[in-house]
Amino acid sequence: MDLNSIGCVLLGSTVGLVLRMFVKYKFKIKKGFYINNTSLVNILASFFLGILVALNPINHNLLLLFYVGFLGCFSTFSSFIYDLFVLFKSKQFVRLFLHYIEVIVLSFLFFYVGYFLIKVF
Amino acid sequence: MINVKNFLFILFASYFASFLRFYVDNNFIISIFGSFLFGFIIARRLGKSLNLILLTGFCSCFTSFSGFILFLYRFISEEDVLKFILYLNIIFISNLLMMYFGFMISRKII
Repeated sequence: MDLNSIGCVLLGSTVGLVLRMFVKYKFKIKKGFYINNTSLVNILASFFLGILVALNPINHNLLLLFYVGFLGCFSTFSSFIYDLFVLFKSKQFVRLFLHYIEVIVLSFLFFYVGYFLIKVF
Repeated sequence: MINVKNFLFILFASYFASFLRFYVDNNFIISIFGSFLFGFIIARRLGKSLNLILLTGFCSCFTSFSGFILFLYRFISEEDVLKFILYLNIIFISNLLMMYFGFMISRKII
């Protein structure tokens, strides 16, 4: 790993982190069964991932910047599991299941929206 | 609270997490370990700023939802619906149990 790639990862993770903290602490969202800021971050990250997969960049540094740096720091899997864990601990199993389904479905929906947005145009 | 000093610590934690994720390069191990650590930390009732550094900085940057989606997308693009549903549920259940396990272990140590 040379200096250029390290710089790409650092830049991507800084932008991802700041954007995630901005979304997490500046908005108050409560929609659907349990859609909150964490879910919003993850759904947006899926949208960007769809765009990235459709573009399919060959440049290694570009992949490091956007996939490892930006998307890795922007999306968070452990907070998603934590939301489910909170519901699991308060024994709201139906709501846990519905929240799980809605996040997965919305993520893949937005993934394909991003994917076909690039493929069509 | 988020001041400049805390923000720098969060930034360094996220850099460390990014490079660790890059070198491990296995989404399943990363998510399992991250969930365990998350469960372990939330049970300890640390201070607010330390929580922010460890959870928002390290754990959240270490685990990656987009890696999870990309892993599942490979099965969809191969039109392997059975494997897709199987892996989706295995990852979800194992992570939830791992977080619960970490939570319980952390409580027992105190």
